[in-house]
Amino acid sequence: MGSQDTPQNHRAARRTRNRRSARRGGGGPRHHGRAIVAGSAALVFFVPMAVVTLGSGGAGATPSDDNPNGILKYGFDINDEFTNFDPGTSVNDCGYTVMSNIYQSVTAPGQYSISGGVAQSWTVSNNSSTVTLHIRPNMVFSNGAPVTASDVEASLDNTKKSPLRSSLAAIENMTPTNPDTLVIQLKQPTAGDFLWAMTYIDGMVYPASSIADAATDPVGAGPFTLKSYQPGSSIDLVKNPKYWDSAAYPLGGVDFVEVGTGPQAVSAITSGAVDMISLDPQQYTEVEHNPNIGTAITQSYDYTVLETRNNAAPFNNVKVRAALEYAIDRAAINKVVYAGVGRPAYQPFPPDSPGYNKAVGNKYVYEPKKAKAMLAAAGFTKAVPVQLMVPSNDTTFQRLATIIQSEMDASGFSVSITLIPGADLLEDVYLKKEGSALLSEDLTNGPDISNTFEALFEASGFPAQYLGTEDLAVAPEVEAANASLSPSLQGPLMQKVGATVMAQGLETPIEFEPSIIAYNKSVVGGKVVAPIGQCRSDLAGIYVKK
Amino acid sequence: MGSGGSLLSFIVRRLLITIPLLILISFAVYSLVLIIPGNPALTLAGGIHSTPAAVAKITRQLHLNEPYWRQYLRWLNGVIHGNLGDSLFNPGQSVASGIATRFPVTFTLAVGGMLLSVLIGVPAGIVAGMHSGSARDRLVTVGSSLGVAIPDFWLALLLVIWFAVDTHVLPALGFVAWSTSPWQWFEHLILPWVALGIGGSATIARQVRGALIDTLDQDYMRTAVAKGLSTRVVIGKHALKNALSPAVTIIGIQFGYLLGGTVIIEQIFSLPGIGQYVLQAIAEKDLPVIQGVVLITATAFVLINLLVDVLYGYLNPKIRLV
Repeated sequence: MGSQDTPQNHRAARRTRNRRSARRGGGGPRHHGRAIVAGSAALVFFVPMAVVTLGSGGAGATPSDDNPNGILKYGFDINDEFTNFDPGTSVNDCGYTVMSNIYQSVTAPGQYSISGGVAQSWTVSNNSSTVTLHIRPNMVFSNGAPVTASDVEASLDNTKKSPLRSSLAAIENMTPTNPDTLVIQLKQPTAGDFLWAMTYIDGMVYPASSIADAATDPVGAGPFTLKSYQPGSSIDLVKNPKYWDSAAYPLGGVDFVEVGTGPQAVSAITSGAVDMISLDPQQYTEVEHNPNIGTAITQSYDYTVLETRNNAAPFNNVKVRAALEYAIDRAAINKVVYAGVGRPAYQPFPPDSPGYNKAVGNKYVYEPKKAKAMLAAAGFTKAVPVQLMVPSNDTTFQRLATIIQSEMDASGFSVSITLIPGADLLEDVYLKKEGSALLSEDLTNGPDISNTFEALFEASGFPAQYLGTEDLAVAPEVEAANASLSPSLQGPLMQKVGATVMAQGLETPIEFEPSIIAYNKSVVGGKVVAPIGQCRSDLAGIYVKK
Repeated sequence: MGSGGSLLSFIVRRLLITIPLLILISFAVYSLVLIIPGNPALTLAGGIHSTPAAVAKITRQLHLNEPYWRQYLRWLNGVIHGNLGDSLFNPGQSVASGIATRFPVTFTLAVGGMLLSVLIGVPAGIVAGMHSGSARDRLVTVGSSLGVAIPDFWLALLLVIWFAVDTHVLPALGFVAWSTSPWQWFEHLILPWVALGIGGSATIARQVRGALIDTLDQDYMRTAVAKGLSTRVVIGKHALKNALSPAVTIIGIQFGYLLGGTVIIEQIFSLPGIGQYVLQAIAEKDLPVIQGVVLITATAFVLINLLVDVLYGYLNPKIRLV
């Protein structure tokens, strides 16, 4: 098999999001779900890119406006979301926003497919247990050294030392058969999962000789190189003229400028302190009518979700969980909290996903009377008490929690909200088992649509163990789906799982979050596309105007 | 003040007292940090991807399984040997280098804010004190009341809206090193300085005004006027020296406060200072960073107070440094 190695595919996938602070890898309630499960052969397929781009701006500029030396000022919460440049020691996944512009990963991510990165193509054999990477010919690092199979091996070996890069624990051994070919033997048939992880920090490639200084002096094969770094203040990158697809990145450079969360992001973009920044939906309403500011929105697979403690009362009762699905007014939440630019999550997959179940459709609308009746039928004559744990460092979550509380209270529940610091979540909610439900979010896994469910429903998953969400009914299908990234395999299986999730209330999806980028129209030219999810940036195809 | 020798002796004694004081402060902070929520080992072990074995391994590596007093002694031993340790979340980055990178930003911010406070507060206080009961006095009194009442973070947000968002006169945020561009360095610090300095200037103005009114009411001041000395000499040479003594104390305390208390201003203006550094460290329970920052700021505070005491003795010879 080979990769669809088109420049367009490289545009598809990155974005940062400033909403959450203290976003250390795995430190919050999000599930990136890159656990080591399943995978398969095959993997590159073409699904028409249904990225929805709305906006008040647009790509009106002509290439003649292009300032080839133009430096883009990009707002990013360096202080909260960046550790260092070493994929092996960085403990903040949001560092990907910057690092993905310095390093080229083995494969490249997209919403619906992966494409070639350092590996121009690959083959999967031995029942999805062996992946053979074919290194892109004539590819060089920013220091001019050629990218070889040995560099990929050394990179993965170094990155593997981070506990956050769990996908790399799947590697049994690696053998560079020649400078252009690396054979990776996996412990289990998890090639699909592995190749998706290779789009991420896990798969970033750097010269073996640069490992010692990677934290401060990164050398990659990405579109930019590091010019200077001021901790907590700025990260300045300049164009890497040796990048294999240099024409796809017309920018002369990009300065990531420290901008904190919340209203600061709006001030930064409207005052001209930055040229581009990602915004929360709440902030979107503050700039959408500003004639100087353009916006681009991508409907991502990220979704907010109510996770319930399924191994303790009241949610150890499937009838209570099922009632909960009718106790949330998703349409109202989309309108009030997400400014109407997201999508209500009536099931775990949106309509443009292969996992979307048409039969389920929008069945789970807000029906408080029905929810009450279901609770009564389950034997609950009084309001069912629920302690809802809400991350305290997130204003969107707090607004959401208040609305959910009122909706659930009207549906036969009695909700008390407990705000919990981000640093406390893992220990208190998971390990100490405080609260009966948690407001959380699941982040996109692109074409690996079953990935989130691995952690949730398979016995090895962290939430599965501590929230009691392991589910024998859906785990085999999740595992089977992980055998391939192919929508023809994952789609039908996930449609089935999605129906079960909703019928049994295994989790309560709330809203597919929009990915929003705001930019200064007088500065930024080209086609601005919001990345497919949080903690990513997409700088391909844009330029700074003369 | 006594002779040069006694001054030196005073400074040495104060510095010696500082050592147990700093140890006490660091121990108190170390103990307080224990009640901050979160487990860094759990995060470092992979968060929701972690395994109990990985968490246990990292807990041992970080010595988090040891009694806290032993952890504290380990840290103290490092400090005595000139090592503040490494950040837990940024392997290889020493706390000392982190502080060295960020302290100049906070120091610049504090000095600028303080300078502005003095430049506004002292003249305003003098004008009000010299013309007690006049319209100018009332203007200064009302202005200083507002200055004291307005929270600096709120003023900062207003300044951003007025001067950055609406008029684009000044940058809304960010920091540019002096070495990169002196003008941009200055430009980026104007709003933070104003936001920090206004409150301090109000306090200083009130202090100077009150002290000057008291001083001018003294018999020796009336004598000086009766002798035919010019207003400039009466105020400048005799009145101000006494009236400024309490103001110096206020300025010293304010400066110490600014060194450790610019957290919110640094956040609003995205300035990479000590406040931003320690705030993140607290959120992550990055103990070595918290301890290092506290130690440095406490030391700075003590030294500033020492300087104030010395200056105080100079301004008011009645005070003996004993």
